[in-house]
Amino acid sequence: MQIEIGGKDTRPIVFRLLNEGEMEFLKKWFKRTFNCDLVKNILEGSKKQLLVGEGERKEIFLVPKNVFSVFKQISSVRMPFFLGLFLGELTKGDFKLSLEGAYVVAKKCKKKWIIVSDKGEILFLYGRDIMRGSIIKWDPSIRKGDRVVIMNRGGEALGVGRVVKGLKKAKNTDIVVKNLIDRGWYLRKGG
Amino acid sequence: MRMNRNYLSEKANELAKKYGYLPYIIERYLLLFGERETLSLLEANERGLNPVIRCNTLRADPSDLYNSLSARGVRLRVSKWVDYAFEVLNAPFSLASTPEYLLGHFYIHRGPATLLPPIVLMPEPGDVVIDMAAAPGGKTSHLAQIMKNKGVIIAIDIDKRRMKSLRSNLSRLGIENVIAIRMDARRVYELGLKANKILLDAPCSGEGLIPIDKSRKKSRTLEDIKYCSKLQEELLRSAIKCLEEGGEIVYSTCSIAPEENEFVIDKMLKEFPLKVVRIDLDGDPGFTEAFGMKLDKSLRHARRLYPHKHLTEGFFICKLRLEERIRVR
Repeated sequence: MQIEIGGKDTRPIVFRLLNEGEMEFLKKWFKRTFNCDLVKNILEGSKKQLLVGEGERKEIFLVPKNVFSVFKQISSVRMPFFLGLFLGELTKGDFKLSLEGAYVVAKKCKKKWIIVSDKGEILFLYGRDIMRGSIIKWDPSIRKGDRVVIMNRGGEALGVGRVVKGLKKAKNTDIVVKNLIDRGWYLRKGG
Repeated sequence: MRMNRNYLSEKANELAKKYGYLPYIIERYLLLFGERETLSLLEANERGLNPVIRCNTLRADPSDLYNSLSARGVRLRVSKWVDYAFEVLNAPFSLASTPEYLLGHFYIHRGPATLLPPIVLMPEPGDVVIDMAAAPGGKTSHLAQIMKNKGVIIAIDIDKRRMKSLRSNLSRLGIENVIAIRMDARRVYELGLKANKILLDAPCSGEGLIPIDKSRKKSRTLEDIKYCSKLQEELLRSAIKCLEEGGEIVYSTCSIAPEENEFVIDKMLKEFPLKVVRIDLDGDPGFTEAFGMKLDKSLRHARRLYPHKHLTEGFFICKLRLEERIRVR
Protein backbone atom coordinates (compact mmCIF):
# COMPACT_ATOMS: atom_id res chain seq x y z
CA MET A 1 0.00 0.00 0.00
CA GLN A 2 1.25 3.47 -0.84
CA ILE A 3 1.29 5.90 2.02
CA GLU A 4 1.50 9.57 1.27
CA ILE A 5 2.40 12.54 3.34
CA GLY A 6 1.99 16.21 2.57
CA GLY A 7 0.34 17.42 -0.61
CA LYS A 8 2.14 16.12 -3.65
CA ASP A 9 3.98 12.99 -2.65
CA THR A 10 3.43 9.87 -4.61
CA ARG A 11 6.30 7.77 -3.25
CA PRO A 12 5.72 5.72 -0.11
CA ILE A 13 7.22 7.29 2.97
CA VAL A 14 9.82 5.29 4.82
CA PHE A 15 10.84 6.39 8.30
CA ARG A 16 14.36 5.69 9.51
CA LEU A 17 17.09 7.07 11.75
CA LEU A 18 19.28 9.80 10.31
CA ASN A 19 22.47 8.60 8.66
CA GLU A 20 25.82 10.04 9.69
CA GLY A 21 25.93 12.60 6.88
CA GLU A 22 22.44 13.91 7.62
CA MET A 23 23.20 14.10 11.32
CA GLU A 24 26.41 16.06 10.75
CA PHE A 25 24.66 18.38 8.33
CA LEU A 26 21.90 19.15 10.83
CA LYS A 27 24.34 19.73 13.68
CA LYS A 28 26.29 22.19 11.56
CA TRP A 29 23.13 23.85 10.25
CA PHE A 30 21.80 24.64 13.73
CA LYS A 31 25.23 25.78 14.87
CA ARG A 32 25.66 28.03 11.83
CA THR A 33 22.10 29.37 11.70
CA PHE A 34 21.21 29.76 15.38
CA ASN A 35 24.62 29.35 17.00
CA CYS A 36 23.06 26.45 18.87
CA ASP A 37 23.93 22.79 19.58
CA LEU A 38 20.29 21.83 19.29
CA VAL A 39 20.81 18.39 17.72
CA LYS A 40 23.49 17.47 20.24
CA ASN A 41 21.26 18.66 23.06
CA ILE A 42 18.29 16.70 21.76
CA LEU A 43 20.20 13.47 21.40
CA GLU A 44 22.28 13.72 24.55
CA GLY A 45 20.25 15.77 26.95
CA SER A 46 16.78 14.37 26.49
CA LYS A 47 15.08 11.11 25.75
CA LYS A 48 14.41 11.91 22.13
CA GLN A 49 15.42 10.66 18.74
CA LEU A 50 15.53 12.18 15.26
CA LEU A 51 13.90 10.28 12.39
CA VAL A 52 13.72 10.98 8.67
CA GLY A 53 10.47 10.42 6.81
CA GLU A 54 11.76 9.87 3.30
CA GLY A 55 9.57 9.95 0.24
CA GLU A 56 9.48 12.74 -2.32
CA ARG A 57 10.78 14.90 0.52
CA LYS A 58 13.02 14.30 3.50
CA GLU A 59 11.18 15.38 6.61
CA ILE A 60 12.80 15.34 10.03
CA PHE A 61 10.75 14.36 13.08
CA LEU A 62 11.63 14.72 16.73
CA VAL A 63 10.47 11.51 18.41
CA PRO A 64 10.45 10.59 22.11
CA LYS A 65 12.33 7.35 22.70
CA ASN A 66 9.30 5.41 23.97
CA VAL A 67 7.41 6.45 20.82
CA PHE A 68 10.42 5.27 18.82
CA SER A 69 10.25 1.87 20.59
CA VAL A 70 6.64 1.40 19.54
CA PHE A 71 7.50 2.61 16.03
CA LYS A 72 10.15 -0.14 15.79
CA GLN A 73 7.55 -2.74 16.80
CA ILE A 74 5.00 -1.77 14.18
CA SER A 75 7.00 -0.36 11.28
CA SER A 76 7.53 -3.76 9.68
CA VAL A 77 3.75 -4.10 9.45
CA ARG A 78 2.83 -0.52 8.62
CA MET A 79 4.81 2.70 8.17
CA PRO A 80 3.33 5.71 9.96
CA PHE A 81 1.77 8.66 8.20
CA PHE A 82 3.77 10.79 10.61
CA LEU A 83 5.06 10.56 14.18
CA GLY A 84 6.45 12.81 16.87
CA LEU A 85 7.00 16.47 16.13
CA PHE A 86 7.80 17.73 12.62
CA LEU A 87 11.06 19.64 12.97
CA GLY A 88 11.70 20.62 9.37
CA GLU A 89 12.63 19.48 5.89
CA LEU A 90 16.03 18.61 4.51
CA THR A 91 16.47 20.07 1.06
CA LYS A 92 19.48 20.20 -1.23
CA GLY A 93 22.14 21.82 0.90
CA ASP A 94 19.68 23.44 3.29
CA PHE A 95 17.18 22.77 6.04
CA LYS A 96 13.72 24.37 6.14
CA LEU A 97 12.79 24.82 9.78
CA SER A 98 9.11 24.02 10.42
CA LEU A 99 6.81 26.10 12.62
CA GLU A 100 7.18 23.65 15.48
CA GLY A 101 10.91 23.49 14.79
CA ALA A 102 10.94 27.25 15.31
CA TYR A 103 9.04 26.73 18.56
CA VAL A 104 11.75 24.31 19.75
CA VAL A 105 14.51 26.71 18.67
CA ALA A 106 12.83 29.57 20.55
CA LYS A 107 12.84 27.48 23.73
CA LYS A 108 16.30 25.92 23.39
CA CYS A 109 18.47 28.40 21.48
CA LYS A 110 19.50 31.79 22.74
CA LYS A 111 20.59 33.40 19.47
CA LYS A 112 19.03 34.89 16.32
CA TRP A 113 15.68 35.95 17.65
CA ILE A 114 13.45 38.97 17.33
CA ILE A 115 10.56 39.94 19.58
CA VAL A 116 7.70 41.85 18.02
CA SER A 117 4.91 43.96 19.50
CA ASP A 118 1.30 42.73 19.80
CA LYS A 119 0.40 44.55 16.60
CA GLY A 120 3.48 43.19 14.86
CA GLU A 121 2.49 39.71 16.03
CA ILE A 122 -0.92 39.93 14.39
CA LEU A 123 0.50 41.33 11.15
CA PHE A 124 3.22 38.66 10.98
CA LEU A 125 0.65 35.91 11.62
CA TYR A 126 -1.33 37.28 8.70
CA GLY A 127 1.68 36.69 6.49
CA ARG A 128 3.15 40.19 6.47
CA ASP A 129 6.82 41.12 6.61
CA ILE A 130 8.10 42.93 9.69
CA MET A 131 8.67 46.67 9.88
CA ARG A 132 11.35 48.06 12.16
CA GLY A 133 8.66 49.80 14.23
CA SER A 134 7.11 46.43 15.21
CA ILE A 135 10.32 45.14 16.77
CA ILE A 136 10.68 45.69 20.49
CA LYS A 137 13.78 43.59 21.20
CA TRP A 138 16.34 41.57 19.26
CA ASP A 139 19.46 39.50 19.63
CA PRO A 140 22.34 41.95 19.01
CA SER A 141 24.30 39.35 17.01
CA ILE A 142 21.75 39.53 14.19
CA ARG A 143 23.13 40.64 10.82
CA LYS A 144 21.55 41.28 7.43
CA GLY A 145 20.90 37.95 5.69
CA ASP A 146 20.42 35.98 8.92
CA ARG A 147 17.52 33.63 9.41
CA VAL A 148 15.76 34.54 12.64
CA VAL A 149 13.00 33.15 14.83
CA ILE A 150 10.22 35.67 15.34
CA MET A 151 8.74 35.63 18.82
CA ASN A 152 5.91 37.38 20.61
CA ARG A 153 6.30 39.11 23.94
CA GLY A 154 5.66 35.80 25.70
CA GLY A 155 8.67 34.20 23.98
CA GLU A 156 6.54 31.96 21.76
CA ALA A 157 7.75 31.38 18.22
CA LEU A 158 5.48 32.92 15.59
CA GLY A 159 7.58 31.74 12.67
CA VAL A 160 10.81 32.32 10.80
CA GLY A 161 12.05 35.33 8.85
CA ARG A 162 15.13 36.58 7.04
CA VAL A 163 16.73 39.88 7.96
CA VAL A 164 16.83 42.08 4.86
CA LYS A 165 18.00 45.34 6.38
CA GLY A 166 20.21 46.30 9.31
CA LEU A 167 18.03 46.94 12.33
CA LYS A 168 20.02 49.72 13.95
CA LYS A 169 19.81 52.24 11.12
CA ALA A 170 16.37 51.35 9.73
CA LYS A 171 13.39 53.72 9.96
CA ASN A 172 10.22 52.56 11.72
CA THR A 173 8.41 52.08 8.42
CA ASP A 174 11.21 50.09 6.77
CA ILE A 175 10.65 46.38 6.14
CA VAL A 176 13.55 44.76 7.97
CA VAL A 177 12.53 41.08 8.12
CA LYS A 178 10.99 39.08 5.32
CA ASN A 179 8.41 36.54 6.38
CA LEU A 180 9.56 33.01 5.45
CA ILE A 181 6.91 31.10 7.37
CA ASP A 182 4.43 32.06 10.08
CA ARG A 183 1.88 30.20 12.19
CA GLY A 184 -0.95 31.71 10.20
CA TRP A 185 -0.14 28.80 7.88
CA TYR A 186 -2.29 26.62 10.14
CA LEU A 187 -5.29 28.73 9.23
CA ARG A 188 -4.44 29.34 5.57
CA LYS A 189 -3.25 25.86 4.62
CA GLY A 190 -3.25 23.61 7.66
CA GLY A 191 -6.74 22.18 7.34
CA MET B 1 -44.16 2.83 26.48
CA ARG B 2 -47.07 1.74 24.33
CA MET B 3 -48.54 3.92 21.64
CA ASN B 4 -51.29 3.13 19.17
CA ARG B 5 -49.69 2.38 15.77
CA ASN B 6 -51.92 4.80 13.83
CA TYR B 7 -51.49 7.56 16.38
CA LEU B 8 -47.73 7.03 16.35
CA SER B 9 -47.58 7.30 12.59
CA GLU B 10 -49.83 10.37 12.46
CA LYS B 11 -47.95 12.10 15.26
CA ALA B 12 -44.60 11.30 13.66
CA ASN B 13 -45.75 12.74 10.34
CA GLU B 14 -47.13 15.84 12.01
CA LEU B 15 -43.93 16.55 13.97
CA ALA B 16 -41.71 15.62 11.05
CA LYS B 17 -43.50 18.20 8.92
CA LYS B 18 -43.40 20.84 11.64
CA TYR B 19 -39.69 20.44 12.48
CA GLY B 20 -38.44 19.35 9.05
CA TYR B 21 -37.37 15.75 9.77
CA LEU B 22 -37.75 12.47 7.95
CA PRO B 23 -40.79 10.84 9.65
CA TYR B 24 -38.96 7.63 10.58
CA ILE B 25 -36.63 9.59 12.90
CA ILE B 26 -39.54 11.08 14.84
CA GLU B 27 -41.32 7.75 14.99
CA ARG B 28 -38.25 6.24 16.63
CA TYR B 29 -37.99 9.15 19.09
CA LEU B 30 -41.63 8.67 20.04
CA LEU B 31 -41.05 4.99 20.67
CA LEU B 32 -37.89 5.58 22.69
CA PHE B 33 -38.79 8.68 24.66
CA GLY B 34 -42.56 9.21 24.52
CA GLU B 35 -44.34 12.27 23.19
CA ARG B 36 -43.47 14.88 25.79
CA GLU B 37 -39.76 14.18 25.82
CA THR B 38 -39.64 13.95 22.03
CA LEU B 39 -41.04 17.47 21.87
CA SER B 40 -38.41 18.70 24.33
CA LEU B 41 -35.69 17.06 22.25
CA LEU B 42 -36.97 18.58 19.00
CA GLU B 43 -37.17 22.03 20.57
CA ALA B 44 -33.65 21.72 21.99
CA ASN B 45 -32.34 20.66 18.58
CA GLU B 46 -33.79 23.89 17.17
CA ARG B 47 -31.96 26.01 19.74
CA GLY B 48 -28.55 24.83 18.55
CA LEU B 49 -25.39 24.53 20.58
CA ASN B 50 -22.44 26.78 21.34
CA PRO B 51 -18.99 25.54 20.37
CA VAL B 52 -16.51 24.80 23.13
CA ILE B 53 -12.83 25.60 23.26
CA ARG B 54 -10.47 23.36 25.19
CA CYS B 55 -7.37 25.01 26.55
CA ASN B 56 -4.27 23.08 25.53
CA THR B 57 -2.65 22.96 28.95
CA LEU B 58 0.59 21.77 27.34
CA ARG B 59 1.00 25.32 26.01
CA ALA B 60 -1.27 27.65 27.95
CA ASP B 61 -2.88 28.28 31.28
CA PRO B 62 -6.71 28.20 31.20
CA SER B 63 -7.14 31.46 33.13
CA ASP B 64 -4.61 33.24 30.89
CA LEU B 65 -6.49 31.99 27.84
CA TYR B 66 -9.80 33.11 29.30
CA ASN B 67 -8.37 36.57 29.99
CA SER B 68 -6.68 37.05 26.63
CA LEU B 69 -9.73 35.98 24.61
CA SER B 70 -12.04 38.05 26.82
CA ALA B 71 -9.82 41.06 26.15
CA ARG B 72 -10.41 40.48 22.44
CA GLY B 73 -14.17 40.62 23.01
CA VAL B 74 -14.91 36.88 23.12
CA ARG B 75 -17.56 35.92 25.70
CA LEU B 76 -16.75 32.63 27.40
CA ARG B 77 -18.20 30.55 30.20
CA VAL B 78 -16.32 27.79 32.03
CA SER B 79 -17.62 24.42 30.88
CA LYS B 80 -19.53 22.37 33.42
CA TRP B 81 -17.62 19.29 32.26
CA VAL B 82 -13.98 20.35 32.71
CA ASP B 83 -12.44 23.49 34.15
CA TYR B 84 -9.98 23.89 31.26
CA ALA B 85 -12.72 24.18 28.62
CA PHE B 86 -14.98 27.12 27.85
CA GLU B 87 -18.33 27.43 26.15
CA VAL B 88 -18.17 30.19 23.53
CA LEU B 89 -21.18 32.43 24.11
CA ASN B 90 -20.21 35.00 21.54
CA ALA B 91 -17.21 35.61 19.30
CA PRO B 92 -17.05 38.75 17.13
CA PHE B 93 -14.68 36.99 14.68
CA SER B 94 -13.45 33.52 13.80
CA LEU B 95 -11.61 32.10 16.80
CA ALA B 96 -9.30 30.22 14.44
CA SER B 97 -7.81 33.54 13.34
CA THR B 98 -6.61 34.54 16.82
CA PRO B 99 -2.93 34.37 17.80
CA GLU B 100 -3.96 32.13 20.71
CA TYR B 101 -5.41 29.55 18.32
CA LEU B 102 -2.47 29.73 15.94
CA LEU B 103 -0.04 29.35 18.84
CA GLY B 104 -1.79 26.13 19.87
CA HIS B 105 -3.34 27.45 23.08
CA PHE B 106 -6.70 25.84 22.34
CA TYR B 107 -8.71 23.45 20.21
CA ILE B 108 -12.22 24.19 19.00
CA HIS B 109 -14.83 21.47 19.64
CA ARG B 110 -18.20 21.71 17.91
CA GLY B 111 -20.00 20.74 21.11
CA PRO B 112 -19.23 19.84 24.73
CA ALA B 113 -19.84 16.08 24.57
CA THR B 114 -16.73 15.48 22.47
CA LEU B 115 -14.69 16.51 25.50
CA LEU B 116 -15.88 13.50 27.42
CA PRO B 117 -14.42 10.29 25.90
CA PRO B 118 -10.77 11.15 26.76
CA ILE B 119 -11.83 12.22 30.26
CA VAL B 120 -13.69 8.96 30.81
CA LEU B 121 -10.76 6.93 29.44
CA MET B 122 -8.36 8.98 31.63
CA PRO B 123 -5.03 7.60 30.41
CA GLU B 124 -1.87 7.94 32.49
CA PRO B 125 1.29 9.58 31.16
CA GLY B 126 3.03 6.20 30.65
CA ASP B 127 0.17 4.41 28.91
CA VAL B 128 0.07 3.00 25.40
CA VAL B 129 -3.23 4.22 23.98
CA ILE B 130 -4.90 3.47 20.66
CA ASP B 131 -7.25 6.06 19.20
CA MET B 132 -9.18 4.10 16.60
CA ALA B 133 -10.81 6.97 14.67
CA ALA B 134 -8.42 9.79 15.33
CA ALA B 135 -8.78 12.50 12.68
CA PRO B 136 -9.03 15.48 12.81
CA GLY B 137 -7.43 15.19 16.23
CA GLY B 138 -9.70 16.72 18.87
CA LYS B 139 -9.75 13.63 21.02
CA THR B 140 -6.19 12.56 20.21
CA SER B 141 -4.83 15.92 21.29
CA HIS B 142 -7.00 15.84 24.39
CA LEU B 143 -5.59 12.39 25.26
CA ALA B 144 -2.06 13.72 24.73
CA GLN B 145 -2.83 16.66 26.98
CA ILE B 146 -4.13 14.38 29.74
CA MET B 147 -1.01 12.23 29.31
CA LYS B 148 1.19 15.35 29.53
CA ASN B 149 2.67 14.54 26.10
CA LYS B 150 4.19 11.34 27.58
CA GLY B 151 3.47 7.68 26.82
CA VAL B 152 2.42 6.71 23.32
CA ILE B 153 -0.78 7.23 21.33
CA ILE B 154 -1.35 5.22 18.18
CA ALA B 155 -3.75 7.37 16.16
CA ILE B 156 -5.53 5.51 13.38
CA ASP B 157 -7.64 6.90 10.58
CA ILE B 158 -8.31 5.85 7.03
CA ASP B 159 -9.08 9.14 5.31
CA LYS B 160 -6.06 10.83 3.75
CA ARG B 161 -7.48 14.36 3.80
CA ARG B 162 -8.48 14.02 7.44
CA MET B 163 -5.03 12.61 8.25
CA LYS B 164 -3.55 15.87 6.99
CA SER B 165 -5.87 17.76 9.33
CA LEU B 166 -4.74 15.47 12.14
CA ARG B 167 -1.12 16.26 11.39
CA SER B 168 -1.78 19.98 11.24
CA ASN B 169 -3.76 20.04 14.48
CA LEU B 170 -1.33 17.91 16.46
CA SER B 171 1.56 19.95 15.16
CA ARG B 172 -0.09 23.25 16.05
CA LEU B 173 -0.79 21.98 19.56
CA GLY B 174 2.80 20.76 20.03
CA ILE B 175 1.87 17.10 20.45
CA GLU B 176 4.82 14.75 20.12
CA ASN B 177 3.73 11.41 21.62
CA VAL B 178 1.64 10.25 18.64
CA ILE B 179 2.29 7.72 15.91
CA ALA B 180 -0.33 8.36 13.22
CA ILE B 181 -1.16 5.46 10.95
CA ARG B 182 -3.40 5.63 7.94
CA MET B 183 -5.23 2.33 7.78
CA ASP B 184 -8.57 0.65 8.13
CA ALA B 185 -9.01 0.44 11.90
CA ARG B 186 -10.90 -2.81 11.47
CA ARG B 187 -7.45 -4.34 10.87
CA VAL B 188 -5.63 -2.58 13.69
CA TYR B 189 -4.92 -5.87 15.49
CA GLU B 190 -2.58 -6.73 12.57
CA LEU B 191 -0.11 -4.24 14.08
CA GLY B 192 0.44 -6.79 16.85
CA LEU B 193 0.19 -4.15 19.56
CA LYS B 194 -1.40 -4.51 22.95
CA ALA B 195 -2.69 -1.33 24.55
CA ASN B 196 -3.99 -0.75 28.04
CA LYS B 197 -6.36 2.00 26.94
CA ILE B 198 -8.33 2.30 23.70
CA LEU B 199 -10.61 5.05 22.51
CA LEU B 200 -13.18 4.24 19.87
CA ASP B 201 -15.24 7.30 19.05
CA ALA B 202 -16.88 5.40 16.27
CA PRO B 203 -18.00 6.74 12.90
CA CYS B 204 -21.77 7.04 13.18
CA SER B 205 -24.94 8.37 11.62
CA GLY B 206 -24.41 11.61 13.54
CA GLU B 207 -28.01 11.74 14.64
CA GLY B 208 -26.95 13.51 17.81
CA LEU B 209 -25.42 16.37 15.84
CA ILE B 210 -28.74 17.81 14.67
CA PRO B 211 -28.41 20.85 17.01
CA ILE B 212 -25.18 21.70 15.15
CA ASP B 213 -25.98 20.46 11.66
CA LYS B 214 -29.65 20.72 10.73
CA SER B 215 -29.11 18.93 7.41
CA ARG B 216 -28.95 15.70 9.40
CA LYS B 217 -32.70 15.89 9.97
CA LYS B 218 -33.10 14.54 6.46
CA SER B 219 -29.76 13.28 5.27
CA ARG B 220 -29.61 9.91 7.05
CA THR B 221 -31.83 6.91 6.48
CA LEU B 222 -32.48 3.79 8.51
CA GLU B 223 -30.14 2.01 6.11
CA ASP B 224 -27.36 4.39 7.18
CA ILE B 225 -27.94 3.46 10.81
CA LYS B 226 -27.77 -0.24 9.93
CA TYR B 227 -24.59 0.31 7.92
CA CYS B 228 -22.98 2.26 10.77
CA SER B 229 -24.02 -0.35 13.30
CA LYS B 230 -22.26 -3.11 11.35
CA LEU B 231 -19.13 -0.99 10.95
CA GLN B 232 -19.16 -0.12 14.66
CA GLU B 233 -19.34 -3.79 15.60
CA GLU B 234 -16.37 -4.59 13.39
CA LEU B 235 -14.35 -1.69 14.79
CA LEU B 236 -15.12 -2.56 18.38
CA ARG B 237 -14.30 -6.22 17.81
CA SER B 238 -10.97 -5.21 16.32
CA ALA B 239 -10.28 -2.85 19.23
CA ILE B 240 -11.00 -5.55 21.80
CA LYS B 241 -8.40 -7.79 20.15
CA CYS B 242 -5.75 -5.13 20.84
CA LEU B 243 -6.56 -4.80 24.50
CA GLU B 244 -4.40 -6.12 27.32
CA GLU B 245 -6.04 -8.16 30.05
CA GLY B 246 -7.52 -5.61 32.45
CA GLY B 247 -7.32 -2.91 29.78
CA GLU B 248 -10.16 -0.52 29.10
CA ILE B 249 -12.00 0.73 26.04
CA VAL B 250 -14.16 3.80 25.86
CA TYR B 251 -16.74 3.47 23.11
CA SER B 252 -18.67 6.56 22.10
CA THR B 253 -20.78 7.93 19.27
CA CYS B 254 -22.56 11.17 18.51
CA SER B 255 -25.69 9.18 17.79
CA ILE B 256 -28.61 8.40 20.05
CA ALA B 257 -29.74 5.39 18.02
CA PRO B 258 -29.63 2.25 20.21
CA GLU B 259 -28.53 0.20 17.18
CA GLU B 260 -25.28 2.21 17.11
CA ASN B 261 -24.75 2.05 20.84
CA GLU B 262 -26.28 -0.41 23.30
CA PHE B 263 -26.98 -3.01 20.62
CA VAL B 264 -23.31 -2.95 19.58
CA ILE B 265 -22.06 -3.25 23.16
CA ASP B 266 -24.61 -5.95 24.01
CA LYS B 267 -23.29 -8.09 21.17
CA MET B 268 -19.67 -7.66 22.34
CA LEU B 269 -20.64 -8.55 25.92
CA LYS B 270 -21.89 -11.87 24.56
CA GLU B 271 -18.71 -12.48 22.51
CA PHE B 272 -15.94 -11.38 24.86
CA PRO B 273 -15.15 -11.42 28.59
CA LEU B 274 -15.96 -7.74 29.02
CA LYS B 275 -17.43 -5.80 31.87
CA VAL B 276 -19.26 -2.48 31.60
CA VAL B 277 -17.52 -0.05 33.95
CA ARG B 278 -19.59 2.51 35.81
CA ILE B 279 -19.01 6.05 34.56
CA ASP B 280 -19.11 8.87 37.04
CA LEU B 281 -20.70 11.42 34.73
CA ASP B 282 -23.90 13.40 34.52
CA GLY B 283 -26.19 11.75 31.98
CA ASP B 284 -29.01 9.28 31.52
CA PRO B 285 -28.29 5.57 31.99
CA GLY B 286 -27.85 3.46 28.87
CA PHE B 287 -30.86 1.52 27.64
CA THR B 288 -31.35 -2.02 28.92
CA GLU B 289 -34.31 -2.44 26.62
CA ALA B 290 -35.11 -0.72 23.32
CA PHE B 291 -37.47 -1.40 20.42
CA GLY B 292 -38.59 -4.60 22.15
CA MET B 293 -35.04 -5.93 22.58
CA LYS B 294 -33.89 -6.94 26.05
CA LEU B 295 -30.26 -5.97 26.60
CA ASP B 296 -27.56 -6.67 29.19
CA LYS B 297 -28.54 -5.02 32.47
CA SER B 298 -25.05 -3.65 33.02
CA LEU B 299 -25.62 -1.28 30.10
CA ARG B 300 -27.30 1.02 32.59
CA HIS B 301 -23.73 2.03 33.55
CA ALA B 302 -23.26 3.57 30.09
CA ARG B 303 -24.26 7.20 29.67
CA ARG B 304 -26.60 8.93 27.23
CA LEU B 305 -26.50 12.69 26.78
CA TYR B 306 -29.22 14.78 25.18
CA PRO B 307 -29.54 18.40 24.05
CA HIS B 308 -32.75 18.93 26.07
CA LYS B 309 -31.41 17.44 29.31
CA HIS B 310 -27.66 17.91 29.39
CA LEU B 311 -27.21 20.80 26.92
CA THR B 312 -24.86 18.76 24.75
CA GLU B 313 -25.09 17.17 21.34
CA GLY B 314 -26.82 13.77 21.46
CA PHE B 315 -24.11 11.39 22.65
CA PHE B 316 -23.50 7.89 23.94
CA ILE B 317 -20.51 6.77 25.97
CA CYS B 318 -19.63 3.43 27.51
CA LYS B 319 -16.51 2.13 29.25
CA LEU B 320 -15.59 -1.53 28.99
CA ARG B 321 -12.92 -3.57 30.77
CA LEU B 322 -11.44 -6.78 29.40
CA GLU B 323 -11.59 -9.24 32.28
CA GLU B 324 -9.54 -12.06 30.78
CA ARG B 325 -6.87 -12.41 28.13
CA ILE B 326 -8.30 -13.34 24.74
CA ARG B 327 -6.75 -15.26 21.89
CA VAL B 328 -6.54 -13.26 18.66
CA ARG B 329 -7.32 -15.10 15.46
